[in-house]
Amino acid sequence: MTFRSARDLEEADRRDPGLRQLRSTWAPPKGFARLKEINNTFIGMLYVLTGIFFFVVAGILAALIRAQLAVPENDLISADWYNQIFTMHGTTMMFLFAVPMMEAIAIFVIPQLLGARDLPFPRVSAYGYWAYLLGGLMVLTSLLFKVAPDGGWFMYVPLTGPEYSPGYGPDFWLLGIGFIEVAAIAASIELIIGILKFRPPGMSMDRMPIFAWYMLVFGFMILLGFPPLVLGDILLEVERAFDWPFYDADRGGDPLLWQHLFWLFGHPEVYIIFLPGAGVLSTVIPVFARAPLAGYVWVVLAAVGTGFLSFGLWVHHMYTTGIPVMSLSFFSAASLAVAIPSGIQVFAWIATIWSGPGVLFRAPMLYALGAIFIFVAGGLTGVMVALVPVDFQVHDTYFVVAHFHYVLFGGAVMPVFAALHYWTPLVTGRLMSETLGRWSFGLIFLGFNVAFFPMHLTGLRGMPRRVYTYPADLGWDWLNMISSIGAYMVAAGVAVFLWDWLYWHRKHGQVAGYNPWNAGTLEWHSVTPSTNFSMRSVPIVSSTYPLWDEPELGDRVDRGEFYLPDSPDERRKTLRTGSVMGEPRQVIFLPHPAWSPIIAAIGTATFFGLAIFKLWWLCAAAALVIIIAGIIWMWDAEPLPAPNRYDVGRGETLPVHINGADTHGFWAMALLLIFDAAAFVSLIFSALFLWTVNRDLSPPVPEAEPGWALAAAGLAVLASVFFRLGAFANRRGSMIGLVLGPLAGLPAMFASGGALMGSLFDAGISPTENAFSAVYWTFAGWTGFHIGVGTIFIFYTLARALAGKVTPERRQSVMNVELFWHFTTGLALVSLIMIHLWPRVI
Amino acid sequence: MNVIDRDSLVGMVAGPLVWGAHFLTCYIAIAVACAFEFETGGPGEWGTVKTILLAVTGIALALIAVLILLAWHRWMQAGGFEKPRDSTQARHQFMAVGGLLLCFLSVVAVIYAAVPLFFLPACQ
Repeated sequence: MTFRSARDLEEADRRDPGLRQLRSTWAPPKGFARLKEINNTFIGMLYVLTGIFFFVVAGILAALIRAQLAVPENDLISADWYNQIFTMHGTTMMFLFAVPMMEAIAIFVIPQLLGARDLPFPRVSAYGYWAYLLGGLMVLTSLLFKVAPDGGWFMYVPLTGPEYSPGYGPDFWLLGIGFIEVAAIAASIELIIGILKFRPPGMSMDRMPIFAWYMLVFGFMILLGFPPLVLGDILLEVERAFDWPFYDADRGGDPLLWQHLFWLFGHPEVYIIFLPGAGVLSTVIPVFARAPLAGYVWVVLAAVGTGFLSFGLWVHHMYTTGIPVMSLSFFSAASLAVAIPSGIQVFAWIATIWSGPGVLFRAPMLYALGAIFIFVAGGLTGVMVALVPVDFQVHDTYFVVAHFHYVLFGGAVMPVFAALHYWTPLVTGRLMSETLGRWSFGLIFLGFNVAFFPMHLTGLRGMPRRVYTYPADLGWDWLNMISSIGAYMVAAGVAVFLWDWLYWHRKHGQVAGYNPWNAGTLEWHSVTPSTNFSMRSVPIVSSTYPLWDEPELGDRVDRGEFYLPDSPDERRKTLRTGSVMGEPRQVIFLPHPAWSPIIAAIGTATFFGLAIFKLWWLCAAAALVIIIAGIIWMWDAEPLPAPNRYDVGRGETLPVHINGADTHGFWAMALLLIFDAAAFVSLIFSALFLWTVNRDLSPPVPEAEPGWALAAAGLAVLASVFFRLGAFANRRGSMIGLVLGPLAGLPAMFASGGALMGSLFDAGISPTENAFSAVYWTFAGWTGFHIGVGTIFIFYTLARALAGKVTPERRQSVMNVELFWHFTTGLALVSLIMIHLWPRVI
Repeated sequence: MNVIDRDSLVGMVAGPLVWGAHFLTCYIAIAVACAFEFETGGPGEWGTVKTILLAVTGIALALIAVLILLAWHRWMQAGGFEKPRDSTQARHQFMAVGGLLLCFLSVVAVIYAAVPLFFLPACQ
């Protein structure tokens, strides 16, 4: 009795109290209060819509670029405007479309693929989404006032430094994009924990839907790939706002430092975009080839291997910067090695198609095949430009433009269209039009090749990137004209797609009903559109394609035969399972809709928006809003019902609250600190890098009383010890100990931070003096920032303790805060080593 | 968590981690050596840094070889190519083969990175 139509569902609702409870528990608030909703289906849908909105904006910018370049010596757009337009085209496509779009699709679809009711931290997803929307709009606003950044999407210094870009443009970029990275971190933590811990029982690692594997790698790559950019952003903004000379060559800084930090992020970024695209292809191709994915373990190898190797490629964007040729060769080697897993993937797709009984050429499959074709073509030129001598020739020409558009369009844009055609019925309950799908695919595929293939030739004929116009008769005229015609074909194709997606199929599309594609994965187990709670009951899974291997599974899920089939207490909840084997371990009580995430996001947006204009006092007010919203948000954390067991059905009960390193809360804190640590390591890298490039300036030895540094180190350790004692006392049930420990630790930590800064003052080191002293102060500032955040955490913990929310049985928030506190101690110690020991040793 | 445990995800990606360590060592060694004009040897002769990096490459390859043996052993324990009887065996096969393949990829990547040591001057 799987629900094969919406009517079945309504009928069942009348007879079946469990289903009714689930539907009312998960029903979104009505009217304006709907904005409070945090459920992944709602947030995912808004996310996807917003992603497509930014895609269209960036596409319009591309159309302007192609209009300007269609004929030589064109004066449609001025040079200044052109710089802003191409910068914003790249920035919007990369930061506001590509990465968020992949997060969007994953946030919507991953819980349904995994039989979870929601992601682990629905409010974090909601916060991330609103941050993304507001940040994106903030960055785009700069275009309306003609003050947009104009230094290219990678914002190279010194062009974007205080001397050559005194306006607000780079600040919009640095603070706006820096803000959007918050959304990326939120999504990455959400997805990693969701995939590792929120799978249905029986879904061990070897049975995960392949898309989940890709998104797991994606999550870890964001976690380690974004921090260098965050750090680079901070350093550049601090240089612009306060004149700390990290990139100023006159004072020991180096513009190449920016390039390193940017590409340490920027190259993994390419794969952060490509891997989800490949995940979509690995999902869609088996469905339409009607065969399981060939070589599952090989594809997992490809995803994981690509994830690793992509971190060894960053210098291939910097071949022409004068780095020793031996170093370049290491990166060239890694760039060639990464072709191996990419190739394996492509062969696995071909093998899948081969092994099936024949391909169904429906719209998602057309887009998938188009993606393979375009991506492979881009991959081949990729192997060419991975070679140092070839790159010397084509660097900064249209050849490179052609290469990376092939890779990104094939690796991300086409898969996104495939994914939207494939998964849209989950939202609207209707299939998109096949006829319009063929038209949009045809126009986009042909148009793309018409637009970008000639660019290889324009590049080989020497046309440089980023020029707003060019003289006639250099052999570039007709090639550019063809490219522009192709670009407008793509635009027409996108218009056809949008018409169908936003309007036509909703009115006239075929009703999708039950499993319209005959797919094998769980999101299609019942009638479309899917419910807010994903599954009537959380199934036990025994294969990678449960719907193919157990045709009656959907029936049993909908009959409520498995876990959590009802919700008599009207609380939203989901199962937590073991990371590797997927055995049920805990029932998670999920939060209900609330205003706090959206208020925190508005506060954060206000903070970054005001920072652009250096209105620091108003920034502080905005920070206060964030803190208050955050505390309200966290206040109901750690629900502990009595008794601490919940009947999950099938005669089993599971605990609701547990403490320890295995909980999703602790993992979230740990992952956040990994992100933080990666940014801190990037700062250490910056110090070492500046040391290797400075011939006549070595890191100054702070000639301070050694007492300062020793006191700082001792006090930091003491603070940690106090906190440990407090946590230990709590475990023993001593409320006084719990309060006294952190209260004693706090002044110790403050004194430690004070001594750290005191040592710099005492030595007379000023941050604007040279790049090294600026780095020293950044170390101190980094530690100080953590002490500040740690202080808020301490008072929050104490308030919880006084409200009776911290007990020996309910100590998870103390554990999380303690982890943060020890981490801060670690930062203080490493900062001291870098400031006081390192310059003496070298 | 036991890293060489059959169900360890960290164990599965140990090969690429060795590659990462080797890659970073090579990059940092050359960057520092060239910045401070340590003795690196001219074209065609072996300098100190090159010798060290070759040794590091040897160690990295040896480590991966050990990991390959471990993964191979785990795979054979899980029945090798045999069709798995139950979900535990299937999972063990998957984790072992996954680790093994990642090790092979790492061997190739480490050798790729070492090739230029034989042909190129260090700092030019």
